[in-house]
Amino acid sequence: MLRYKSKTVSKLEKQVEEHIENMSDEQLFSFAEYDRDRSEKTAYSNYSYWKSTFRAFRKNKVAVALVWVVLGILLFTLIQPFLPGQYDPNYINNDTSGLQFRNIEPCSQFWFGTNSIGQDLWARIWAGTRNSMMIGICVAMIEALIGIVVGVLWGYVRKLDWFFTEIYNILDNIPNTIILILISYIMKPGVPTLIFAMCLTRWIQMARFIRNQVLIIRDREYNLASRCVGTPTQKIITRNLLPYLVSVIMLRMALTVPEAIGNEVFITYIGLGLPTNIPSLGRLIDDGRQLMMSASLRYQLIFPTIVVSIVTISFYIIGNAFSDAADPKNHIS
Amino acid sequence: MNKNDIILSAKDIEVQFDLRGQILTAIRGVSLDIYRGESLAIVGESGSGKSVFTKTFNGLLDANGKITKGSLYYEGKDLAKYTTEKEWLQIRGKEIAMIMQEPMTSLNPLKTIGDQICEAIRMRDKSIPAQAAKKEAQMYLQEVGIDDPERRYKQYPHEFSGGMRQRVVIAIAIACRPEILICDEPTTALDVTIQAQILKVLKEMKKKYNLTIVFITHDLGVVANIADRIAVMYAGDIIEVGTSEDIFFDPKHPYTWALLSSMPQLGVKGTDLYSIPGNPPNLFTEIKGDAFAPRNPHALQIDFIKRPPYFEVSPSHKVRSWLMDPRAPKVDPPENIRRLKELKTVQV
Amino acid sequence: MIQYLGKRMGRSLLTLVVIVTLVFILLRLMPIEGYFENYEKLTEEQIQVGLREMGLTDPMPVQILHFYQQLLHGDLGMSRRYRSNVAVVEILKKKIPISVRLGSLSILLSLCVGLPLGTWMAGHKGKWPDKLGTVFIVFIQAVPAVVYYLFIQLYGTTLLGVPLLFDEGNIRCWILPVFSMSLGNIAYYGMWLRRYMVDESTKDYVKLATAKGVPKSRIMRNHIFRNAFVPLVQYLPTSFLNTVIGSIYIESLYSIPGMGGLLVDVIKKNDNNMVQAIVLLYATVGVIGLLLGDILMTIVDPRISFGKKGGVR
Repeated sequence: MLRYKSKTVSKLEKQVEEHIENMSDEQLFSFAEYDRDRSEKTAYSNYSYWKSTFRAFRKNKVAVALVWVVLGILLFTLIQPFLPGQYDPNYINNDTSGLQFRNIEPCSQFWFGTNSIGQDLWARIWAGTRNSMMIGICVAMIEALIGIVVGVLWGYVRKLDWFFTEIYNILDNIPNTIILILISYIMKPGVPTLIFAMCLTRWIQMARFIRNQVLIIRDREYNLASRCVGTPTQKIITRNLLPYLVSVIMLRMALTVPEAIGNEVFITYIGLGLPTNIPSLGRLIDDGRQLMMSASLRYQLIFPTIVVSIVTISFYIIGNAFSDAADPKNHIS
Repeated sequence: MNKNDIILSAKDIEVQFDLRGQILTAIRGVSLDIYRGESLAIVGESGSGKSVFTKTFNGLLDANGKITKGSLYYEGKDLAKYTTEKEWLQIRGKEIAMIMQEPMTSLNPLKTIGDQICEAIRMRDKSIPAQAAKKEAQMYLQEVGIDDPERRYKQYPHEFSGGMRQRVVIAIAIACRPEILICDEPTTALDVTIQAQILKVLKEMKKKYNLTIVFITHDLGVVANIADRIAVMYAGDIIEVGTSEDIFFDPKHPYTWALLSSMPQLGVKGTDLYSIPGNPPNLFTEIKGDAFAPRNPHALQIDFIKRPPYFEVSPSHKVRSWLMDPRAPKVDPPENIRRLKELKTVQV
Repeated sequence: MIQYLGKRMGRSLLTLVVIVTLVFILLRLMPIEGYFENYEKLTEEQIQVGLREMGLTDPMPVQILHFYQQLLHGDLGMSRRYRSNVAVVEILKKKIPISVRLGSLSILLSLCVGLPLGTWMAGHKGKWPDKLGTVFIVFIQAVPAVVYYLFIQLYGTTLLGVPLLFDEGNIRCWILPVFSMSLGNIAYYGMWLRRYMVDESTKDYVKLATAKGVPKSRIMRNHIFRNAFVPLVQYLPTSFLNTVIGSIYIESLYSIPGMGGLLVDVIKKNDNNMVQAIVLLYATVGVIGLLLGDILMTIVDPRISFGKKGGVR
């Protein structure tokens, strides 16, 4: 641990050294008093898991910057509708003669231009980002919630272990894409359908992870050891288990958001996505795709893809940086 | 053992690690001569730098660590100056081989043990034909006490028990036909009965192949069993070195006293086992004086100020402690250490 | 071994039965238009007759039984809306070969690029090749595939001077679809191989191999790569089969007449029987892929003993 040495301290040290040099042999070779505190002082101590995690995370400048980017985008999508001079994302703009403002390139009136039926792209992009991110965050939260509840049950209630393990073995065999397509095909398109389809089997992975951790609390040697020396269960959970658990839950949640956005884009592309009056990033990209062959209209594809890329890459990097930071192996110093 | 026949000579070796911009000095100016054909034990608690020190012999330091000072002569070559892999390949295996602590993980799980021994043979001498290498490998298996070598040769590591795997590891090391064999806590992970068998195999191999063995351990029982000489390490420094008799029956450094006192064999029934109070120093900071001073009940003022030089007790016995200075007050070793001296016959 | 295989296959079969039954029941909940070629023009009476003919008015268990009987004869029903009254099997027969060719090429390319990429990154951990590779992997993994597929199609076709849509006879038309399809797998293999190799390289057996004088290049190739590749083997059949039965995106983007594009078409046309058949095909392939992965693992890894690890992965 590097400590900042002030000038006065180094001055003092020098004085001490001079003093020592003037000490006589007799003084030098007399017994020093044994000081218990001094003998303990040198230990590597005051380690705090969370402090170290955040310190390690803060060292990753890219990830820290991206946290601000994501927070900024999230905040902006929330306040954007209340800013002055914003259009309604679904309002079809007409000129004075009643004709639609179709495919107008970015200008001072429509910052990102308009789409093929005269809706303001700027408003649609932010509304779409809001909806897509909300879907992603909802999926992540539901997945975590179900996963944790089932996982704890799975791990603690021994009788249920067999039951859940069998369910896991079946669900884990079914490709996610298929479930996504099937549910979207059968149910009425909409936000709840999408969230339901994505959550339907994802939670089992989280549950299995939690279950394994619960088994570890019961059986891992260092936890048995802790228990033997009388550490209360609560402390074992907060000290030994929770840190690791929370970090992996956070990682999974962070990675779920870009995946959910990707799924939404996919489902929209194959024609099972949200209705057009609920703008989403997938819808915007698909609209842009249909016009991409004409170079002058390509802005309708490029703006949404930039936003999608920024959001997904940010979440991905933040999640990975956090899980790296949460790994005690990276906590040296 | 010929005193003049030095096979490896370390002079003032300093090893530093760069841990994310912070410098950790793991070895602080260690000097040690190793004689041809001897068994030298390096003892010390975890983190004292004994493994790091021996890793400098064959260039196995982690990528962020390097020798920053000193020289390391082996047959006229200064290994401290070696940097490239090509240079080290001349040393590793065929000159200095190594046995690791964990027999369960030190074999490649996907290769048969025969393949792994043959690889060592082929690294030493590429001209050996496959059939001969196979015969030779089976011979080594036999020598380290593995029955039915022809069948065992074709098996995978997971088909062996811990003790058997350690024998395989020894066979691999022997197959390199080294001059020096470094054994890094080779018995720590094993049961006591298996420990004794492994030590026996090592002794036999030493005799058969004229090996020089460097033994790293914190188990003084093992040391008494196998070592001709003992070097005691503390906080990256050798603080006392001498023959086994010197160290066990006439220890001089307070740390050596403490270490010996913490042997279970020396405990008195019904009393708590002795443990050294305090913690080892933080190697990220510069250590002033004698590193052990803060934990030393016999510490002198000067121990906190100036690092002691080596004092020679006898030609074979050197100590780094101010207590040996003629000006220092006389301190007797603790009671139980003296008892050890009196009971020379004690089986440790 | 027989016991292990039997158990493992039994589990796969059970999974399949569960999926097939579920898919069948779920699709029966769909609006009935999906079973008629021109539902809008039919009278109520005609619809009832049609439903009866197709056996859709029977109780559910009877329908399921009937469906399984057909399935065992290799009959997946008739397409109604996508093609009028053509057997689903006939349609699939025409579509599968092109997907297989496309997929095989792409998986080959993924392995040829992804494995060296991972090895290269692991060998230069923390240096610029690693960082460069990481940027590529993060991009491919994080950004939804359709986004970069679109841009590859948009600019790639201009660059190569090929038409936007696929032409089977034109070799140059194969380049972009195969390349696009490989990207995801390249990133996947690169990332995991790198991670496993980095993990492996700190293992004790690597230290022992170094200590016995094996050069680093040989250790990388002979010890680390082999050990790091084992966990990937499990995923290999799945990724192979998934790629081979067609990429939904790529095939429909380039209008390639394969399996993947077909799914999008039949969904847009609400052809229930076709959707059912294709979904079942994908699910089957997914289950078989995992099964093959497990079997392959027992072959490459001597530590996995048969019988002991029944089905728990």
